[in-house]
Amino acid sequence: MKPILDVENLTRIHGPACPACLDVTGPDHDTNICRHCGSVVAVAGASFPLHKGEVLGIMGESGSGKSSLVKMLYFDDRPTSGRAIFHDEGAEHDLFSLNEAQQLRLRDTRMGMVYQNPSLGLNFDISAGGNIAERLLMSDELSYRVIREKATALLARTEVPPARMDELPRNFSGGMQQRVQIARALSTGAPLLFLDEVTTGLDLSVQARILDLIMELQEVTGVSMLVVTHDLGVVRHLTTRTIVMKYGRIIESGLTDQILEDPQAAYTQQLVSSAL
Amino acid sequence: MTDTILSVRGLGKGFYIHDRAKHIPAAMGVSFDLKPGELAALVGPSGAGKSSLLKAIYRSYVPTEGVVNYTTAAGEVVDLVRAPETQITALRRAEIGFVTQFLHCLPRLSTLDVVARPLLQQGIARAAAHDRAAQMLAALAIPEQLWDATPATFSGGERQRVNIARSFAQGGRLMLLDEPTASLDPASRENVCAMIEGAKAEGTGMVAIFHDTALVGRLADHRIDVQRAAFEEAAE
Ligand SMILES: Nc1ncnc2c1ncn2[C@@H]1O[C@H](COP(=O)(O)OP(=O)(O)OP(=O)(O)O)[C@@H](O)[C@H]1O
Ligand SMILES: [Mg+2]
Ligand SMILES: [Zn+2]
Repeated sequence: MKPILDVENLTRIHGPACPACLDVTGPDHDTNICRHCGSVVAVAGASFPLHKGEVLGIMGESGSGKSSLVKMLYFDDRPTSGRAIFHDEGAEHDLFSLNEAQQLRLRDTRMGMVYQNPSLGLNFDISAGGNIAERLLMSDELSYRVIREKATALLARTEVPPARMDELPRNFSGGMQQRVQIARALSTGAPLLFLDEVTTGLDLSVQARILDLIMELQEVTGVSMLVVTHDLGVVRHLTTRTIVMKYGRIIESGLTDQILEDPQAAYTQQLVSSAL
Repeated sequence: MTDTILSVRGLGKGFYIHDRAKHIPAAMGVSFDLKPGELAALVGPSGAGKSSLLKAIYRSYVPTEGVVNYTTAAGEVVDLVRAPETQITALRRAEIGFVTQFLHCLPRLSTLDVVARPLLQQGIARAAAHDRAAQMLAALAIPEQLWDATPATFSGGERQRVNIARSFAQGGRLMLLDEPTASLDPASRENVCAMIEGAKAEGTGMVAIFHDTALVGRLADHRIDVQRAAFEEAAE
């Protein structure tokens, strides 16, 4: 298995930043705030591969930097330093040295994102079908008929009733909104998908069905996924490897069953035992 | 050496619990060899660390010491203790199975799909996968009316049998079994034993823990005594 994504030393500091920021923050210092300059070290020195077809979990408490990490990779935010190489079917993209137009293009066609909050991933002012069409248009699909067909098929695949295709997603239930968001994220056949707390806040039974759906789609498409969650159940069901973050640092990574059954770091032991 | 599928040397497992600053030895230096078609039974008192050893071989636990040389289908010798995670993942998918009493499953899949899933993941065609799944479910006497339902609502014993059906449908060159027959009724237990014998005959190597010592006598080619490790070494 080859990596589809190589993340190297990715760092994001919010604030003025000073030479001491990285030395006085992190798990050993029990904070992500630099006491010299007040900057927040959201992510520091994160390095890891995401392998082709792999589902990699990122877990950690609130504020540990999980979303920050994924946001940079999806160009929602810029890193302070570090690199990420996207090995996309022969092409190699050094993500943060691309210009903005190139970044947008990659994001619209070769990556997908599903946010916890559907209003971030969907346009609430156009129909469910329109949301899919919008993304297909960005990837240069111009035939109305093809777009309509594809949108119908995608929504069917994520189990959104075709009858609701022309309705506004703002009127949908939370679970249904997530299904539309997933359909939209998958619409261009992107090989790389980011999911940030996609089941948080949904009813348990709805959660289980969405997770099951994601798993099924992953198996069919072979898409590589980075799954951010603080929910150990999501990690257990969806991922094969897991990264654990605290105060912006990766403190442990391993096979998911090993992380859950035999965590090595003190923090992970605490996290896992408190969830039992 | 050539026809040894698994060679375990000095495999041990201990836990360090940060909270209590304690080392807890769970299993001490175990060694054995296994050939295709053989079953090694881990035998020892409760708390001796039998399950820990099994999990250490599968890498659900990080082994603390020793070597576990596994010979892959391609004939390559891989130390499972040190193999990279991606290699472990690939071997789990294609060659090494773990059977427990417990089945975790999500509610959307039917029993037939649950059992067929690992086969589909290996790229086996849907019809063939379903045939094999049906065969396994029938062999374990799961009533056909239940095959379309989700196992999420099944009884403990039914779920356990679905889990075993899934593991054996997938098969593999090496299977690790942790009390596969515990809490099954005698008829089901007999079915599972027949399945184990069948897999052995097909050349699957197995490392197993049995609750019932009669099964060790019946199924095991090697009996591996697992000694209880010295309890709680001095804190660091
Ligand atoms: N734009 C920003 N400006 C300042 N600080 C920020 C900004 N975005 C994130 N942070 C800080 O960076 C740290 C990491 O935040 P992030 O949202 O990545 O955490 P998270 O692990 O996703 O948490 P949660 O589980 O609550 O979603 C937090 O301390 C957060 O307050
Ligand atoms: Mg977040
Ligand atoms: Zn600073």
